This record gives sequence, C-alpha cells and structure tokens, in this order.
Amino acid sequence: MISEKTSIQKLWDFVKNLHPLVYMLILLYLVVPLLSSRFLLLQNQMNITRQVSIYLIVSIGMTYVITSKGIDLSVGSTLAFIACVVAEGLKNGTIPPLVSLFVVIGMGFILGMVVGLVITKLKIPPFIASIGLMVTYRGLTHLYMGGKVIVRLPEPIVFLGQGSLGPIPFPAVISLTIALIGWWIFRFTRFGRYTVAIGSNEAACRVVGGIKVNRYKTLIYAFQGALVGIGALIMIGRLNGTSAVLAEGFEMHVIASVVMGGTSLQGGRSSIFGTILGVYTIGVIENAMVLVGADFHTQRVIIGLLLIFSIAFQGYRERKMGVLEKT
Amino acid sequence: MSEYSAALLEVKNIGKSFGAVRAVRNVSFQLFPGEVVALLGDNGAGKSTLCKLISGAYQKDVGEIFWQGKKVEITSPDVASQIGIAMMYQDLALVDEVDIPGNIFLGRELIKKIFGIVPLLDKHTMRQETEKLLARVKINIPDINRPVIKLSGGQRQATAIARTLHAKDAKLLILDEPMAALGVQEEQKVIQLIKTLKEEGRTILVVSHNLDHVFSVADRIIVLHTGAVAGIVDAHKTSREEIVGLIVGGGKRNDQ
Repeated sequence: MISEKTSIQKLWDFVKNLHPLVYMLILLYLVVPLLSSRFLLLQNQMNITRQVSIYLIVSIGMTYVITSKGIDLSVGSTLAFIACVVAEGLKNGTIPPLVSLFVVIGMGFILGMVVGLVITKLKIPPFIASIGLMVTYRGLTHLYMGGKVIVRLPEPIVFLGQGSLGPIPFPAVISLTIALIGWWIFRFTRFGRYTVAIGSNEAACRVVGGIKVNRYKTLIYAFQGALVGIGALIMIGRLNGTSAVLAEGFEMHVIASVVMGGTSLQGGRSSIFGTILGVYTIGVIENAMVLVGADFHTQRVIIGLLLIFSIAFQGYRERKMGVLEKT
Repeated sequence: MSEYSAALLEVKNIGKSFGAVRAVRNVSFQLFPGEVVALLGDNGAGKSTLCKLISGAYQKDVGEIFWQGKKVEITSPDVASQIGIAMMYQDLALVDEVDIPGNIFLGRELIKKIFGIVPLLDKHTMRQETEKLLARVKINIPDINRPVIKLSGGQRQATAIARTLHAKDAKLLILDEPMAALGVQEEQKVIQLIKTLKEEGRTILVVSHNLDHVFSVADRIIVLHTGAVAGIVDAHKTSREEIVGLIVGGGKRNDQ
C-alpha cells in the first residue's frame, strides 16, 4: 500500500518536473498531424532533424555565452562570412575539402575571439559589442562577395550537409555529438565550471577565486565562434552554395531556442538538454507552418513572438520559484 | 595578545580615497597571533574598505603594511592568500549556482587527467576534502552537492567561512559581517566556529554590528569613525556605553 503510494508520488514528481517544452512538443505532435497528413512521415521527421542541426550546433555555443551572462548577436553574420570565404576557397581550389574543417573552426575561433576581446578589452556591454560586430561582419561579407552567388561545391562538402547515415541525416549526427560534448564540458571541465560561475557571480570569481575572468569570457566567445564555423560548413554543404545574405536573422532563432530551453538570461543557469528541446520545438513549429503553407514572413512573426513569450515565461517561472532577481 | 609578542600584521598610516571620499584615513593598528579582534563602526565608517585593503581586493593610496615584521605590498587577493591572509567577503562570497565543493575550491579546482592529457575536474576528491573540512569546523550540511542558493543563511555563511579556511595555511582570517542575516541559532553556530578557529591558533579580524557578538568573541576592539581610528580597546576593560560612544564619534581611546 505504502510503497504503491510513494511510487505514484514519484511518478507525479517526475511528471511535474518535466521540462515545459516536453509538454509543448507532445501538444504539437497531437495537433499538427490533424492539420497536415505529411507531418508524421519519416521523411518529414528526418527533414526536421536536418533543418534544426545547424541551429543546434550554434545554440550549444550560445548556451555557454548566455550562461556566462553574455549575448552574441553576431553569430548569423559570422556564419555568413565564414561560409562565403570558405565556399570561395573550395570553389577555386585553394582550400581542399579536408582542410576546410580546420579553416572554418580556426576562422570561427578568431572571429568569436574578436567579439570577446571587444567586450572585455574595450569594456563594451555584450549586446552592443556583438551588434556592432554583427553589422561589421555582414558588411565584410558583402564586400568580399560583391553581389556574387557561389554554387556547386565539392562532393564531400555537399555530403556533409545533404548526406545520411541510414535514415539519419548526417548533420543531425554531428549536431547531437556536439550537444553531447557541450553537456560534458559543462559538467566535467574547468572551462564549463567557470562559465557557470562567471555568469552567476563575476565579482566573486574575480576577487574570491582569483579567476582570470576576461580570459575565460574571451574563450567562451571563441568557443562559440568555432561552433559557428562548423555550422557554416554544414550550411554551405546543405545549400550547395552560398551568398552574402546567408543566415540573416539566424541569431534571433538561436537565442529564442536557448532561452526557451531554460538557460537564464540572468546568467549562471544553463541546460543543454533544454537547448536541444528549444531548437527542436522551434524546428517543429517552423515545419508545421511550411506544411500548412505559411510564408517566410509569417514564420518570422511567429519566431519573434516566441522569443518574447519564452523570455516572459522564464521570468515568471523564476519569480515563482522564488529565485531572487539579480541586479 | 600583549605588546611584547611580535605582531602578525601591522598597518601603519594607511589611507584610501574614492574620488573625493576619503574612505580610510591614516589608520594604524596591530594584530597579534591567536587573538580575535573586532572591527566596529557605523555604516560608511570604512570597515569593509579597510578589510579589502588588507585582503588585496583594494589597493591602498598611502601607508605601509607589515606581515610578521616584514614590509609587504598586497597587490591582489592572490598575493594575500599566498602570505597567509584570507578574507570572507560580506557581499561577494559565494557563487550561487555552484555547489559547496565548487565554491570552496573556486579558482583552485583539483584536476585529474584522463589518458594523461585531458584535464577534468576531480569532483570526487574535492567532495571528500570538503566533507573533511566541514567536519573539522563542526559544520553539518546534509547534502553538499546542491547549488548554494538552495542552502539556509547559516549554511551559506558556514560555506563562505569554510572557503576562507581552505586557503592554504591562512594565519589571518578576515570575516566581514559573518553573522549578518542569520537566525539566532545560526548566529551561535558561527560564534562557536570563530572560537574553534581561535583555539586552532588563528588570528581573526571580524567585522560586526552586533555588540553582543563582539563581546562574546573579541579580545580587542577597534572602532572606526568616518574612516579614522576612534579607539582601540581591550574588550575585557570596556563597556557597551564606551564602545557606542566611540562608534557615534564621542571620544577617543587607544590602549595600543
């Protein structure tokens, strides 16, 4: 009798503590099939995982940035810049496909590091610093491309974006691996620990812990940049080409996913699992909108509203849990 | 404890300004091995600033600091902890979202290497060390793996003090308002803890607003008033009235 009651209690606790997005997804999977018969097809489901892959890779980096109480609005422009430079190199043969992976990671690391350095050395708030670099990197991309469009890239790069392992899209395999590594770094390394600690109480890290906060902050943005680089390579593979307007509005999508997943804009609280759910939920919503015939601009309206709603919801939940708002 | 034994720390004519505000003016005092000294003063009297000058969180504008008779420049909290000074800060002691071992080892995490190269946090050893440390100072916290934001005020304070203790061979502990925002029972635990630390032979400089606490632990009392020393008195040869008078600026006394 007694044990039965406690197991029901346990089950109730489990259900109560499930991530809110789990319920959101259950709701979507109940409702969307009524609107479109194609939604549940394996082909369509695999399409969703392919589409969300690049968002997921960058969102893992953004989870680190936001956990450290930062923000990076430059990720879309960074992605476009790397994509264009590398696509050009692949096209004219100066960058062999095998080397391109190192090029994108290296470029991303440096471009991200610049964001971190502008924030820590010039002492500009992350929001403003990354908006400035968002415009700068986008401008550089347009200067580099001069209105040109690149198409038809080498086979291995196209496979990276369009290939599959059995039924599972290759980008999904890469992105889930990166998510797993992201979770592991958070939990088991000094870098992960300091990301949380800096977001939670930067002054304590500096004074009590003697941590070189600026160096770690810069490293967090560089890490994010490296992931953006990987995303860029998969993106040009998937599209089999690129232009200077690639990934516009990408940053909003990524930030919305991370915040929906429960990583706190107040810093210090992160959830890689939540980020995966956030990315996937937005992917399902977008897919559903495409299936029912909503156009691109309607999709942007929905993403914008989702971003606002998820931040409002996060604030509500934190107040309800009695977590003091940090100043 | 007496003027005849050598001072552990001596501060001479130290001063610090923030813009036009002279937070600490011409302060001199000595701390001797194994004594508990209370630092008193009204809000804005310069207590926290003075502590931070000694712990390296702030840099003095003028004056000298001697450690065991030798002149030292405490340019950072790192330098302070290397020579044996550890401070518990009132306002920025803990990292809320990190657990107790994580806070105690903040900035000096133990690392183990897997495959001889990949450095990882050695959580197991840090947990063990934390349990030992908490047991030694007789602090009982059931679950040390929770983020410290979930702990009670007393448990948080105990964690902050334990963190200070963990600093290697800290001879001087500076505790800024260790009893602030605590329940009565928890206050008593912290007082007991201070006594335990004194028995271990450590020197303790404790900032407090509560005269009952001060009289129950302190050997000597330093009173600051508008950034300057208003009095340095033997805690056993004074009265509450005299101390209150010094705090509000109604007198001067120096036993040193």
